[in-house]
Amino acid sequence: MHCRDFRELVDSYLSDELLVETNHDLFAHLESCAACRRELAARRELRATLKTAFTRAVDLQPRAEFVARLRSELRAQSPGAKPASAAGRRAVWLALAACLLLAVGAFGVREAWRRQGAQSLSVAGSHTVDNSSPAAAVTLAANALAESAVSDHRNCALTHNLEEEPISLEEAGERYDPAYSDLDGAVMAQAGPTEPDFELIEAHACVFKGRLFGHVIVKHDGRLVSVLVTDLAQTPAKANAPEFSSGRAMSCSQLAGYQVACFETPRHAVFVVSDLGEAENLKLASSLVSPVSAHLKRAERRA
Amino acid sequence: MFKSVRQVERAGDEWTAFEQEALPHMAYVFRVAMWRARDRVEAEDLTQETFVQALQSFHRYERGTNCRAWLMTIMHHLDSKRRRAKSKLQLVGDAEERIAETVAFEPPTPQGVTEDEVLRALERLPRSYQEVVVLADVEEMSYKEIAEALDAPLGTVMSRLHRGRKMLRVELAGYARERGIGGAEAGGILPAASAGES
Repeated sequence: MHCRDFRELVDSYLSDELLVETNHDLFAHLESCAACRRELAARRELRATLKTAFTRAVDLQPRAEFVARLRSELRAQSPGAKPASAAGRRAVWLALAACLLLAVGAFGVREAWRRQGAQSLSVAGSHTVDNSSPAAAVTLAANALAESAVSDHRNCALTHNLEEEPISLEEAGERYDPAYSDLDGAVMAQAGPTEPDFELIEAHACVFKGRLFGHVIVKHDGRLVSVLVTDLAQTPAKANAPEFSSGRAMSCSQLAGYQVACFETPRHAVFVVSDLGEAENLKLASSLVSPVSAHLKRAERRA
Repeated sequence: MFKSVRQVERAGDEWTAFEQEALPHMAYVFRVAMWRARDRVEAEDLTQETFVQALQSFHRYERGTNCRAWLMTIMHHLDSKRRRAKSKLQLVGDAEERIAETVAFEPPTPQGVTEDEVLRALERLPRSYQEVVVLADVEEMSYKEIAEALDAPLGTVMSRLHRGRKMLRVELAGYARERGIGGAEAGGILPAASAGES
């Protein structure tokens, strides 16, 4: 091999693009040529300088905010965060339930408050839901429902920032719906007596945006988790809703960093809200289906 | 709207894989985008489009292959589409080829050049040559990966790399001469033309 050949090939050698035989020829030449050894060292140094210059150039670095924002947007767009496409019956159910929650908003609170007096807890009224366009309402309504659940978790469980003082589950059970009585017991039943990573923090009935929730707050995996139960039986719209496939939990939304999973019984909807990962939150909700559904169905039969 | 446990687990697995394989290359992708666009807003747009497209197509990515090269392929296609939309003609390519052909003499590779000088020299190369040099010598992509990423024949990539590297050395030799820095053969060694080729 000549020096001219060596100089033609040396960059490909540094890129590890040569055949083994050609590499051997290069090495053989290098043993006897000091000038080419220096040239090899110089090219290696140039490549290292180029790489360092490129990777360290301030002008070429992405802004930290950009990286964080893009990462967050990608996470939100990932399949794990996307709504599933075809969930017709459940989507309609959700739309109806959500419409109900929307319909019983501020107006419902005001009416119930007026009926029950200032000292009592305001609960959802029974207003007819306009579901003449359920398909169009699905997305908005579903988002609103998820937002309500997340907001209650945040305002009640995390920041204790409710407009009305919560009442005990027993009182709510006597006054409004027997399903609320001993709801905390049903929730804690999933853990069993030896589960160390499932701690009851608080249990009460609270109102958020006019809706009464049985609210059990637990600590799981170091995180606060809200289990929210609400009565859907009073709505006329429910009579028109297709029956929702109960018996298992579904992950239904992700909002503002919180995961929402849900399941239902004939008259109640249950939401599990936390900042756990989606799979973890859904796993927890799944473990609650059996004891909480049994508890709610017993109450529904008694009512 | 509703997802079963299995759906969530499957989707979660896919995000985790994307997070582990693709996202670590975000800074690399941005740097190349910035080098191409020379404009931060445009580079951010291009990087974002690249990763959004990558996320949507991740099921087509073959695990275990070079993810950075795959991302570069996506970015190149998006960037080409943008440039076509802006009606930037490819005639520049011919002119660049002619410029590259004029670099005949090759001085010894200078040593001791600064990072700033290397970047300035790189900027003076025709753009299509800068691109292959960056992908090969900075991003350490193989010739084959570069050819796939740029949708160009392997031979074209190899010849552009050869000429691009040569032009870079010539540029740097100019800086080195101005500063009195020697090349690989400085220090009493004979010039390349008479260095006793074996």
